Amino acid sequence: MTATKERNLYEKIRKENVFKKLGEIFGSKNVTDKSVDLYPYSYDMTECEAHMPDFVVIPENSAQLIELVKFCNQNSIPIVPYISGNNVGGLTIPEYGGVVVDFSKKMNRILHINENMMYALLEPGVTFGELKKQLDEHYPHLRYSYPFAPPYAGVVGNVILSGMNNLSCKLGSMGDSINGLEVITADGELIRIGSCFYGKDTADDDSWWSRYPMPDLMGLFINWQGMTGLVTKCAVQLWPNPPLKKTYLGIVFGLPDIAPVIREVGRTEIVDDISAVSIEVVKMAVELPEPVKIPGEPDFAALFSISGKTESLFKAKEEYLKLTIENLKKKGIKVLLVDADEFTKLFSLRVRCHLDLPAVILSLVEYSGLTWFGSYAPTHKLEDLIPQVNDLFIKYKVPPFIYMKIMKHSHYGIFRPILRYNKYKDEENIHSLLNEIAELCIAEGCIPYKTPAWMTEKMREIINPGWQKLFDKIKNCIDPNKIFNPGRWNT
Amino acid sequence: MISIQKGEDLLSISLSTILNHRKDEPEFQKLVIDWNKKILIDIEDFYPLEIIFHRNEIKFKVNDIDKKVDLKVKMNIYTLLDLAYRRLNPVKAVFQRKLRFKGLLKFRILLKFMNIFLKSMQMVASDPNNKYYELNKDIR
Repeated sequence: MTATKERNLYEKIRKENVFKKLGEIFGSKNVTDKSVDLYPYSYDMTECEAHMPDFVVIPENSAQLIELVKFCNQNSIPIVPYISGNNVGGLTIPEYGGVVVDFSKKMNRILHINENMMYALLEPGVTFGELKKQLDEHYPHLRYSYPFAPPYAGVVGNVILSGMNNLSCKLGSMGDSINGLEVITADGELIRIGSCFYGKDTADDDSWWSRYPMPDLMGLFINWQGMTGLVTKCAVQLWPNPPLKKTYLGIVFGLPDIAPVIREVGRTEIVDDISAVSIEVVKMAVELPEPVKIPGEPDFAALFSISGKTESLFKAKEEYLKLTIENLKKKGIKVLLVDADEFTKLFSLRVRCHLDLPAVILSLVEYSGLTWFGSYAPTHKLEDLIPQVNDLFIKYKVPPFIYMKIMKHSHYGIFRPILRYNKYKDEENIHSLLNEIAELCIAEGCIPYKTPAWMTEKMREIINPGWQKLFDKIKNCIDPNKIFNPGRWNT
Repeated sequence: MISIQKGEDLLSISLSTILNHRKDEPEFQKLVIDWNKKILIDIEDFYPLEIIFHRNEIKFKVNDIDKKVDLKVKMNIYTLLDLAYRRLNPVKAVFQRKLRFKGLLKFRILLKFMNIFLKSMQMVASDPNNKYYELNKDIR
């Protein structure tokens, strides 16, 4: 059953009149208040409690959204942005009801691709699959970066929530590669941030090329989970697409030993991307849903992607990677380095989904429930975290699923224990496991991202009070009537 | 018709992929059916794996491995990949002690195993089943 939290939304205006007004703004075909239409927007795959929205609207342009925001602000009606509902944090569940804005249907255009300054200007509904198709077909000399997510996941949502991608070892978080944003704030102002701020009315498509050097107002909208405004355009950086690419597979024996392996390879500054998964995850990919590790099997599989524009540059990178692995072996670490493409052909091509991103990854979608503790992690703590979290999985009789990444040449890492489960059977057990993982990891200094409200509550217990006051001040100042995605970060 | 056990550990998953590639091939069936032999493969750094050819079945065992097997094969993962991708000649591999056997006196067993294992591995390497996603359409 889905419900809506107590909040008297319609004390200023009757619900029927809201529906009428939404029809005037978006056209009656693009507004619904029917339960059958609202239900899919009320839940996601996580343990987060489901709540029904009151309305769903399908916008076509920013002008409609300005009108919506002004109207909702005047009447204190919540607005929840929605793209594909794929996030693993309950972020688009309308906890207090209100209006869900579904960007995926009509505001899903790739507005401009600038080959010279290498960026793409996107509407919020553009998916990774659409962007990749567009680049592969029309701009093969350019590439974007893709996360461990299906092709139907939204780019902008992932970018403004600082997700990661398959160039993260080189570039860091996706939030770092935003050039510009167009945002509607609570008073209905349309704001352009970044080099696109020139131009009183409109911005030239060619003007979205840098985020700096003006004061970085983008921070008011990145990682706020839609609590400060509605993003209506986003310019993301693209990169040259080198002709030579290869992924190496590191097979690591010994649970904590994966940490120095990925950290050291990250520091070589030659690798585009590093990700590592528990060996059980490799087996999940070949249709073993509840794999058991046997004695003698390795503990982790790591993928190292390298690329090069010339043969000699590429070969030098390969050589340096191999040398780094040899040096790790000399220190007593048991690690094997093989060509991932060669290995997967003999093992099972199904595991290629980890290489060909974006992809529907069987292990992430084969159960009705999916949740995680996705966090930015201090890499020097990985040796402690990995065995402890692995033990927790075993304690709860759940196959270990730890996914890690090295970001920005080992400046920091991503530590993400993932839990798949049957929503109608195992939710209680899985939530207790997740709770224990969250407490352990937060105590070790991990910072969750795309965070559900129950997790931010735990973080608030240890966050510096000054930070919390400033955070609350900004939220109250920018969204005084609390219309934007209320409930996130316990607001 | 040959039945190949679904692997549950990394090595038997690989072997199952490799052997499944030829399972409908009459020449392969002729080699395998009623061979009734036990072969131990030891990939260095991993763990020993027993392959049991019995009537029309091929099974894998990683625990309680039989003390008496018909042939023992030992190599490391790099040799395995070099053989699969034809960068290394098997005879050379034996002379360089990259590929080692126990039970060499049973020359016919060795040759037959190489014919089954090495040839299948080379076939998968050069022509992998790119339509892998069409297999096992059952959705959990």
